[in-house]
Amino acid sequence: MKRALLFTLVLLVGLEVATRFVLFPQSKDIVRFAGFQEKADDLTRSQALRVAIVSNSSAQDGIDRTRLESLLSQSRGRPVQVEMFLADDSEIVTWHAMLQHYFWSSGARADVYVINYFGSLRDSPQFEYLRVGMFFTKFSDWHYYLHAQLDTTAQRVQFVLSSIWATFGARDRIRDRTLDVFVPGYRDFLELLSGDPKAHTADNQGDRRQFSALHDIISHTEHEGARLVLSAFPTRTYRYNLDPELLSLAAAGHLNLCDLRNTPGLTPTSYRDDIHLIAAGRDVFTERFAAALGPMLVAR
Amino acid sequence: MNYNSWIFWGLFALVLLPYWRLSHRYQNALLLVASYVFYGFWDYRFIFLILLSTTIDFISGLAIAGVKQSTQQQLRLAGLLLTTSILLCTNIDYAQLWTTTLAADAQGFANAFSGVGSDLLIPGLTLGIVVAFAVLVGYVNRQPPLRQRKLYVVASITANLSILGFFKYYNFFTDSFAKAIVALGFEQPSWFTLNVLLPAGISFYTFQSMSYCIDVYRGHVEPTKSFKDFALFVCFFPHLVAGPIMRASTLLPQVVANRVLAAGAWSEGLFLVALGMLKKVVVADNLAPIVNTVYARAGTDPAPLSGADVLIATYAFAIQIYCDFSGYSNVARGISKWLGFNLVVNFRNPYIAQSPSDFWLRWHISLSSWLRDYLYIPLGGNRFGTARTYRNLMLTMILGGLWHGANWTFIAWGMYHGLILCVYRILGIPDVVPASAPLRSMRVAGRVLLMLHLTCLGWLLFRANSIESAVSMLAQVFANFAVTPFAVSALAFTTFYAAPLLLFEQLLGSDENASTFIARPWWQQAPAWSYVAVMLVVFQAARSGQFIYFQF
Repeated sequence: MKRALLFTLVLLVGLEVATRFVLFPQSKDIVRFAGFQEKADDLTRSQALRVAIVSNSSAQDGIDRTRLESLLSQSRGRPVQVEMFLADDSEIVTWHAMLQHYFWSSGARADVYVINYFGSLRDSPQFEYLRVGMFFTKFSDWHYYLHAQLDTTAQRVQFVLSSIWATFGARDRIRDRTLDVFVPGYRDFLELLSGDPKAHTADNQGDRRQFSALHDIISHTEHEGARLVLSAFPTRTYRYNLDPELLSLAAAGHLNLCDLRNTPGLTPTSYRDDIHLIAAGRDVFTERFAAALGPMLVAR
Repeated sequence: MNYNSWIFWGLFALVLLPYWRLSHRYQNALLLVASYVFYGFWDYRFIFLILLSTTIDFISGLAIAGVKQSTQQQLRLAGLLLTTSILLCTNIDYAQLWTTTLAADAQGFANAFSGVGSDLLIPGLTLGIVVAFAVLVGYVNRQPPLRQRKLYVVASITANLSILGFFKYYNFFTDSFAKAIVALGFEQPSWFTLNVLLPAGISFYTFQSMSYCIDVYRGHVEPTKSFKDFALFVCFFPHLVAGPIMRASTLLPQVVANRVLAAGAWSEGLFLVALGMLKKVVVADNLAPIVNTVYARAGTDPAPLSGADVLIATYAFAIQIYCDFSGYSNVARGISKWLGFNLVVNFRNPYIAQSPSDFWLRWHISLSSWLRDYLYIPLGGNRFGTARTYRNLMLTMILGGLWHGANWTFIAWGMYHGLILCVYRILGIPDVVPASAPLRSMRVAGRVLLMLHLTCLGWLLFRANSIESAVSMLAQVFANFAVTPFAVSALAFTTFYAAPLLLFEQLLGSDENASTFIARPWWQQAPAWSYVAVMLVVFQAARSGQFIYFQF
């Protein structure tokens, strides 16, 4: 039996190697992550007004970075450099981790941090802690996540395991890719399941979760004298309100709120689904976004 | 705290690390404490309940065998019960007690006890039980010896069934009664509905400790004089909440005897734990959303379900419940082996059964044999003519169904199994195809297929939210059988997760046959170990639910 277990161990090591060197390079998301530190460092060295946009795929399809850069430079009358830090299917806790990892822990800096979001900015109980553990944290960050963001022993153990074991951390991706091959219409099937596993990556914590990730981002940006802008992204049919907490934080001057939920010029045909814009929609949104963001681009 | 939780394995490691360095006495003490901690994770107040059940059967066992306990021993047990009831079942705020102790806050410390006076129901009842018991003992001891034994066993059975009946069936019967009187046009009285919590595993440990007293009465088992040994027999944590239901003749000697780690116990234990975890967190938990989606839609979704959806969800449920329950038994047996215990085999490839009798020799064997030995045979079994045999079969299966839970669907499920047992008997179909029968393989295949579908029909009743819902779902299979994209995906998904496991078990001969597997050459074992490892790491369900049988 010892030999059989040794064989199993070798297989797991092989799987780990394959995950890191074969699977990861095939993932657009993960390939993007690999360039984030370089982008952050590049931004830090820039003489232009430095803007870091943190978001998910809504910004990937909704913002034309080059056009935005040029529009902002024109409106400010000085060079503006924009870099985007995007992770698919991410939200505030993941963005907090990305900012912590690529900026504050590594000494990189921007003048303005823009968080482009839709829905809520409360700490999400369903943030992808496997991905956060795997890509966006160091050992020194563990304390924050283990205490402030993760509630169950299972989450904590999985977070730690995923930070050291790529196969474990990327298991959702491996599973989905495998089942795409074996199960006809797998993605649609997942949507139909009331117990969609993706909807249960963490236990529902209800309203107990507050804005701790956002508050931490505010305190970091204030500490380094940077400006924080929250941009509420327009969606086709999904409607969401701005939380009163955000309004009061904006009123108190802790952040700027850029409410683009009802962007003029965007119609239902501007979208390819409820969130993602097509090219024409992206052009419209980029212009409106630049117009709204421009006046806020001043260092604190 | 489940086997599929990290915290369980952390605590188990804390038990196992010192375990084999301790003497037998301390091993038992450690297991007893661990078992109560394990059980207390559900609700610490339930520790009192299991202790009450344990004390009743311990005293009854000795009394049935005519072993006199000293007054001092009896007082000690009464004191233990009363103290436990006060410590666990009155509203002492332990969190406040702890924080105020650390803060040296005398007023806060005193406030932690403020709720005690408002809730003395359980200690009061405990005192009542102790006094009633003393009176009963006084009365019974004046009876002739044979009558004394009978009275004690009746008292034990009554006490056990009363506890079980109250906690498990009170809500069900009062709700059913309330519905009946409302249907008759009367107003529902508000006073008799209580929200009684169901203690985890109560059916399992009640049946186990009750059978101890019956076995002592029948002379099959010598009663133990050690309360600690008996308590460990009742609450041994690996199988406490979902079986297998162990007989005193099997488990108690293992508690009493010095523990020896048998050769191959680690390997066999590892095999059983790995297989059990694969069944639970990979197969059962991944199939659960399919079952939940379809069964939740039945009767609530205006769009009618397709028959194909119902069929696939029912097959998926058959696999889910098997993997969930037998997975628990596997892990229970595996970790027991690591602790030097052997628990009985609870499943033997139930879905290759050829008849209902064959099925019950393969499914939840510890319960079916319990029902046979303590219900069916005492009712007369098949010894008093055909009509009595059918009556006994029906009664046993209905009560077996009711054992699973307080719901009409379980009763209907038990009745259905009783009915197919009777039909097979009436038709004179042998339990298995005789070895000498012509075309045996084909006949076996046909009978297995038929029995599998009869079993699935039973699972439809078992899983449905109500009998009406089960009937409407069944009607869809015949009236609206359309192959939907959901059904196609669900079938492929189910096959992906379940087929390798079910095939492996068929090759192995029995789903729990650890030693056969361990004896195979390493290159035959390696693919199975690798498969289990990869499935557990990569394909375990995002959300692992509670074991289905915890609720029974």
